[in-house]
Amino acid sequence: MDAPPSDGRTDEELMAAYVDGDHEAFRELFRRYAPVLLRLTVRHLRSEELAREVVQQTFFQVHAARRDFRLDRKLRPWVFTIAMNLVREHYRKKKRRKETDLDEAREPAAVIERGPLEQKERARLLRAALDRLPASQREVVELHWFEERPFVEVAAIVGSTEGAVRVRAHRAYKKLKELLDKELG
Amino acid sequence: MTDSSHELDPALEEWLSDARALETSASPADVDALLADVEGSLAKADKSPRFWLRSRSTGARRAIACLACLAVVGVGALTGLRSDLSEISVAWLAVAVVSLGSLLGASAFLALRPLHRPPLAPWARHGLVGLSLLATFALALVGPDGHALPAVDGMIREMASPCLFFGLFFGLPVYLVLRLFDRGPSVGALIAACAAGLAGNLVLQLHCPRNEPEHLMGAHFTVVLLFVVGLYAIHAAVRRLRG
Repeated sequence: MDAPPSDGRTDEELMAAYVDGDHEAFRELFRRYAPVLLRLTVRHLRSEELAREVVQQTFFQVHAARRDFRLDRKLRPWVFTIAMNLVREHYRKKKRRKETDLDEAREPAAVIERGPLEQKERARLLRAALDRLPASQREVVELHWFEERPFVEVAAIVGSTEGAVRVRAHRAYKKLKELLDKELG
Repeated sequence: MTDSSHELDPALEEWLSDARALETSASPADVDALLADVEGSLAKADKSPRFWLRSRSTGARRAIACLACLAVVGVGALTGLRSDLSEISVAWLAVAVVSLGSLLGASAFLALRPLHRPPLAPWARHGLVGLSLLATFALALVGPDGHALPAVDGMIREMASPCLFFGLFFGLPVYLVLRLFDRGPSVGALIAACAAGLAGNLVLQLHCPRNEPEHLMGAHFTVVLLFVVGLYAIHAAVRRLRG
């Protein structure tokens, strides 16, 4: 998925170096995290421009909060929580989520063959179905499935318990299946 | 899957896998261009005193905010402690100071919640503001002289009393300090406004010797109400103007 790190240090070691003033460590962290955060935020915001803004803001916040990072903690949930909070803030400011109409994608969904175009249409339908999930369920699916984060880490990012996140994920996947089945008739 | 214990419907798993397989990553050139933008913004921000304040650790920001609250209440009290201090019920004054002080501390603490923490639940945010309004309303309704219902016309007249402006004057620095140190989301403004109202109200409890229910409701309680409703309305208007 992403390019392997060019620096042998762990994320947490890089963060410690960065807090101590090593600017090159910040650059390495940026190269490791920016592609992942761009994918995560594009998925939520459906706009590359907005996603770039949120990723910039995320690193701005990482810089402002660097003295808050505890070296005995994992960096990834810490950074993801900032990014997800900024995405939520975006929606709070806009007071609306980008609407995606499942009906628009109804016709292509009926295609049965699995060519490259059909795969794209299926992905588009799935995105539309994801948009119909409550935000709290959707973010769990995004982090668990698309970012392949374990439930315990997803719970830390969204500020919930592992059990509650598992329940949310179960409901989300069930609802997704229902929505997709309905679309396919 | 990430957690093998969580089994997915095979058809859904296929859909999800297809969607994941189609995802692309930003090219190294894109990432470097974005990094250059971020480094430019950070170099500019690092020169700003406001960013310097915001980039203190959360512990330091909270300690400074608490000291600011204490300083405001202390200076307010030093302008003249209420002249009836020896006559009013010690229990009532203790309840007022402890309840308002605790709510003020909690508000200042939560107004500076950092963005790397999961968001505060809306019920907690609204609960704190509601509790603050309720506590100051109850203290106005049950003053040091006991419970009495205020007359509406007298209450409205009291809104022009110097006490209201005195409370607003002492609350404003608390609001400004909290906003100055806040690097979190926009919801911090509501809690900061609540803290400001509580600080203004607490100063009035320590300073003003008038105990008529109309005065307590019209000039003391209104401080909190104005901060919460007024500043919230201003923020909402600014947000709307900015689109």
